Amino acid sequence: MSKFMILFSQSYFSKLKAKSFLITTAIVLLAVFTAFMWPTISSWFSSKSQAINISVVDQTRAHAGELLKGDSRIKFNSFNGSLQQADQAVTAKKADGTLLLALDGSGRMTAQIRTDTPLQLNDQQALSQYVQTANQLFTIQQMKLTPEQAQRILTTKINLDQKTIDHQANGKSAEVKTTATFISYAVAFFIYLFVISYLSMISSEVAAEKDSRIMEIIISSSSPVIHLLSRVAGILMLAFTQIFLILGAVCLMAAGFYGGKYWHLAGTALSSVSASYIFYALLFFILACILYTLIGAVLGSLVNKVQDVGQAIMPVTFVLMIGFFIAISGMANPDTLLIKIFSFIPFTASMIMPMRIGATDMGLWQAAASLLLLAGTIIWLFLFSLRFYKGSVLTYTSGSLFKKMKQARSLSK
Amino acid sequence: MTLRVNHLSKRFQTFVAVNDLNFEAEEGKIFGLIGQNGAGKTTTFRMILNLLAPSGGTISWNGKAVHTLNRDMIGYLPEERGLYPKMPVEEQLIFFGRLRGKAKLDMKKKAEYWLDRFDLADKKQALTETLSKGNQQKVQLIVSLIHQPSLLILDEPFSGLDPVNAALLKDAIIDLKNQGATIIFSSHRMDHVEELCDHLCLMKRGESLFSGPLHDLKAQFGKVNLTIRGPFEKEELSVMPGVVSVTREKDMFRLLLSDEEQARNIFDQVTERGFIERFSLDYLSLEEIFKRKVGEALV
Repeated sequence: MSKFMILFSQSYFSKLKAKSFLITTAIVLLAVFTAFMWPTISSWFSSKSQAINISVVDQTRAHAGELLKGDSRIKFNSFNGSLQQADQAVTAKKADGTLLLALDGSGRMTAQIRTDTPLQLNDQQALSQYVQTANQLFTIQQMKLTPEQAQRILTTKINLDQKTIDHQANGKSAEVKTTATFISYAVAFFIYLFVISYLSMISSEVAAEKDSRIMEIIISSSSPVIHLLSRVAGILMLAFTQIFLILGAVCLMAAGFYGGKYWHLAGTALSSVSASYIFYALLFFILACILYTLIGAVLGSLVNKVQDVGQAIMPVTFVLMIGFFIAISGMANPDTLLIKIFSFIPFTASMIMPMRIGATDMGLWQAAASLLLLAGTIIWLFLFSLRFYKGSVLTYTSGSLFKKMKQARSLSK
Repeated sequence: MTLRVNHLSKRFQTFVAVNDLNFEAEEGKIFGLIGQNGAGKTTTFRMILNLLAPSGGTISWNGKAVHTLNRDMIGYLPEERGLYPKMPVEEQLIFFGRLRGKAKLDMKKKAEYWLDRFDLADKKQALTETLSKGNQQKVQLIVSLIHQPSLLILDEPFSGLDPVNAALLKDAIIDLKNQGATIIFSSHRMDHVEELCDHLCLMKRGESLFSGPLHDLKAQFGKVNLTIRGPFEKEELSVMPGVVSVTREKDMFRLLLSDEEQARNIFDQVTERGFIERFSLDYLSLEEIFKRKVGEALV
């Protein structure tokens, strides 16, 4: 077995067997399971709670109260008495609240909910929605429209079809763009999560080996290049293992739960975006993982102690956060100049460019150019780090990272 | 198989860590590199290991530049110990052995042998971090020699070891020497160096003060270390011709002579009164020579 494979498998398997990795993976899988089962889980809790009974005091004299449709959670009961009597019923716990419907001077419906104790937010929201619908129906009734006319108003919907005059460049529909935006957001979130989790892991591993002087033995038996590559590959493999485990579990649950409802939903979402989008998003994701793992290893080699790792990787975390927040801003409008600029910067491109590919009508050459820039940066960073990695793992002086890099380079000569 | 260091130097910007160092470590011999802290011993080791590039001079092994050598033939014990704290002892030994190009099965057998020899057989499944400092040191030593290196570099191998374990280590080093390995080691413990080394290099601030056989170094000073046990007073011994200083050590007197020839006159004088229990003329100990040499260099 080559020295690379010995170092790689040591790095990979020691972390794979570590309790922290197993516990983290188990927690994520549990969270995924809970997310899939949420409708059932929430029903366990909601089934125990009783429905809310609302007494409707209708003062509109136009039977507006009959337009209120309740459900299993909120029940509307017409109250044939005065407002005071209804309030007394609430105080006597015979009802949970009184809904007073009336008309103002211009004939518009007004509504007021009167309760003994304030309602919960979700009940308030549901109630507001029912009153809103009832008001729409009431207004239509007042206009003396036929039932068919009323139905048309309520169900009317229009799709804006995108058609560019230049036949060479047909634009994507708003639906496709929206789907791509959400998928891109998921990609950006995944990259953010990955880097946050694994950046400090690789930095700490390299720093610990340097701190404990194991590094001297390892690089005197192999070489700094082999060490660097084995650590980067080990952590990447660990990350991909975790991702495959989680994605595998997601796929199994999506296909298995609720008759495959989520599986079909995901299938529909993915089929609406192009194959080239998926190809680019995957490439950007993989390259981002490689880039940040490499940065983590180099930063780990520059610090003297494991406890200095947090400080060393902080600037990288900030860059990552900037990229992520810009990606979030793209959810509202992915065509801004800010997004265009950051989609070409290698450190943020992987989180932003997939969104531009899917949610805008830009030419794919831009994605290819950004990808080349990212790949070029990785190659340059790798070659650059090799020039001082050998020296940096033997440097134990204090000072700024730049000073250490300078010293490490002189030692590597 | 000889390791030859020729006019070796290493500069870090303006600081000269090693300057024009020359020595030869022969096959089947133990070579000691001694010097105070910061003398340049570890830097020299790192250059031999190709971890640092020399600023000048050459290092060769059997005529070949050391950076072209297969690293698997080298064993290295760094000054600062380094082991994976969460890895069991046996796994650790096998891992580092494999990293030196040896087969897993072979290393398992060797690990068993060395753990048994260093009285660690019951610790092979223990996590390294749970071991005492001395036991960790022994594991570190096994890591450096488990693959039977042709060139073994030991930087302060005795630090942290009690006398019993230090003796175990000495035996192991002598065994490896007898098997033909070239061994270079550094130590602040001059008694260990004196006991083990055939040749040595005495370093001070990157410079070599002496390089060659231990006997030649001692011969430079002559047999000026005289020990007497008898019915004498310190005052009467100190006025004898050729006596530089007298110190009382328990029931004996240690006399430092200006030169070896004065010993005969002193012998005649102290035996005039008849029987004396002890009259022993020796070379200076390496520790005394080290203090003198380093002291001179400081002046």
